[in-house]
Amino acid sequence: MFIRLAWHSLLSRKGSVVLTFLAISVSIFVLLGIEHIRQQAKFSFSNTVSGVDLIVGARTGDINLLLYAVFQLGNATNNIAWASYREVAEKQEVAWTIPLSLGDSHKGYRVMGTTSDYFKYFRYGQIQALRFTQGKAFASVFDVVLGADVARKLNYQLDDHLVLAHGVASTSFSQHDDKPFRVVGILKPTGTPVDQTVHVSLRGIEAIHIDWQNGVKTPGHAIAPDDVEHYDLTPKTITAFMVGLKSKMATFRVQRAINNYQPEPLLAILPGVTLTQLWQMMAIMENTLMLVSALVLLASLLGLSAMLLTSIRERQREIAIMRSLGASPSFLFLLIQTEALLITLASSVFALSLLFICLLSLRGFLTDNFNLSISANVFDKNIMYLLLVIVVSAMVTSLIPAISAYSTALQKRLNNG
Amino acid sequence: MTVSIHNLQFAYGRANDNPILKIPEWSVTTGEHIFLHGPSGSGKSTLLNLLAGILAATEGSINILDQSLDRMSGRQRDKFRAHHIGFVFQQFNLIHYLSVLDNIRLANHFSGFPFRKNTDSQAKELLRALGINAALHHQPASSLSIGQQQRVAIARSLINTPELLIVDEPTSALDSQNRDAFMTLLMEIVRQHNITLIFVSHDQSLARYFSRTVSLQAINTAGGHH
Repeated sequence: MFIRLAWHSLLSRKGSVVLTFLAISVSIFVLLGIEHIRQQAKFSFSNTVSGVDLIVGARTGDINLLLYAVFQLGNATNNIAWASYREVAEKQEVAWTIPLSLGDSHKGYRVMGTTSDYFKYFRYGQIQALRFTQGKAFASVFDVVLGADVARKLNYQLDDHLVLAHGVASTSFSQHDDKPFRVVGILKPTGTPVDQTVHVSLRGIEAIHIDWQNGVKTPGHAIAPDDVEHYDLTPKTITAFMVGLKSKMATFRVQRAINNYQPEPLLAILPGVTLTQLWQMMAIMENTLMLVSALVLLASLLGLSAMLLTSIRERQREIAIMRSLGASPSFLFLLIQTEALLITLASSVFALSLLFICLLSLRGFLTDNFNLSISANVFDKNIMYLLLVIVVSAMVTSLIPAISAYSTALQKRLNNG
Repeated sequence: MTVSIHNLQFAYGRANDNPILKIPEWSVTTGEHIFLHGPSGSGKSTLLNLLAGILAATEGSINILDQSLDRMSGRQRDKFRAHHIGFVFQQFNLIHYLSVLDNIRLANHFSGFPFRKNTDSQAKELLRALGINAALHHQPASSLSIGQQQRVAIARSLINTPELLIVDEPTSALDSQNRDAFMTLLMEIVRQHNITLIFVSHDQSLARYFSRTVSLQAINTAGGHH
């Protein structure tokens, strides 16, 4: 009887109920959308690199090292000597290393020189290995493996040839056009900066610079691609390297040893810790987003309360009839609360479904334009908690109309009706 | 004794400020059918609201079925009314968006016997006796004619088999033919169920249906008009 009464009561005021339903749905949609994207961004951000115990570069700030080594943002302050890298790599505690050489680009995408160990040991997300959509890791000097976004946006296929540019500017006039690279592999999307990276071997990086000096080609000393094999292609310097240890227990010891390395100033960072520090720097933006969505929700909850209050004014006679039939204060209180609950639940279900459909259909667009890899699964624990908070808040804001439903005198309304 | 009033005073607003009702003594015995009349504004509806416990007396006491209303809280009066008193209002006061049956079920729900199994069959029987076609049972109250609404209001007031039925000017919107048909039906039902009836109207021609006629002016010693 109770639910039927609340339901029919809402149906009898379709116009205002539909408007309130839409207002609340939009606010819940915005709130859940922001929260979901925030969580997903944080998740994908903090999972950019995993399974790597230390990242080592020339001495600089922790965050700067992380930004250029992992996110390929900004530039390295200095390079590190190959000998220093080898010394660390040969330490007893070290299981594997991935050297990184940065500084070149291809049509705005950064080029990373590394070894095939990169494809073997690098992990992202929940310790996921890199996988190939097509092809395999580089083997020859002029092989290149493309990140998923690079291949898709520049429409590269296996065996296509591409030319690297000197420097990281999106438009470069110094092209390594005498030594083109051949696409031998395309990686699966990861939702991390790997997707926007062009991977070549360290030897490849060395080979394209073999006839260069101080950032320009040495006139008259051009070396043909076929001839580079005759030269020693071991790099003299690299930009940074990633370290995997045999035992996590050794992390701090190795970190300290690297930081105290005498021949040159090095910095070893724990990627997880620095990722957290970096995310905390963005907390103000995150909090601002949350504040805006909370205000949107507050506005619509007040709208719900106002709608219910107005409806009570319209329904004073109906409420008086119920009282005259013996309705208890708790019955009327619960009736108004149930109406608010029905509106809020219907709005929540609608907003959640809408968000799911939007994310499902906009996933490609978000990845293409914002490099955001957002899961459409909105039914996670945090979102459910947030919905619970929304429903409870709606109940709290409905207290005023619910209390006023019984508190007004009934005699006049029955006789003046 | 179904109704017993002793030194009743009632005033709207401040307690002793010019009472609208002042009734030293008045009583109604069980099974009586009272026709209460008086000019407009004489306090008839106020008295009915006091008897139903919708309003509380400013002074004095009202006993209904040997229970003192003035000793009850608002909630207790609501409960008492739902259990023992049927009320047919001037405007019938049906909930317009609920169906005919739901309007009657609601009264039963508030009576505290919502799980009584035969409520629906009893409601349908009452509606049949009152000439409401079964096809209308699931129609919203707002789609009924005035005459039909009036009958549904009576069915609602009788669903909890009240000992006292209070009816406030239900015929004011009816022509003489429908009025007579309604009165005959109402009197038949209250006799059948041995219900004490207090019926208010300013139409004195209805007095012939009742066992006792009471002029409010005769029992109310309060001075002014309201």
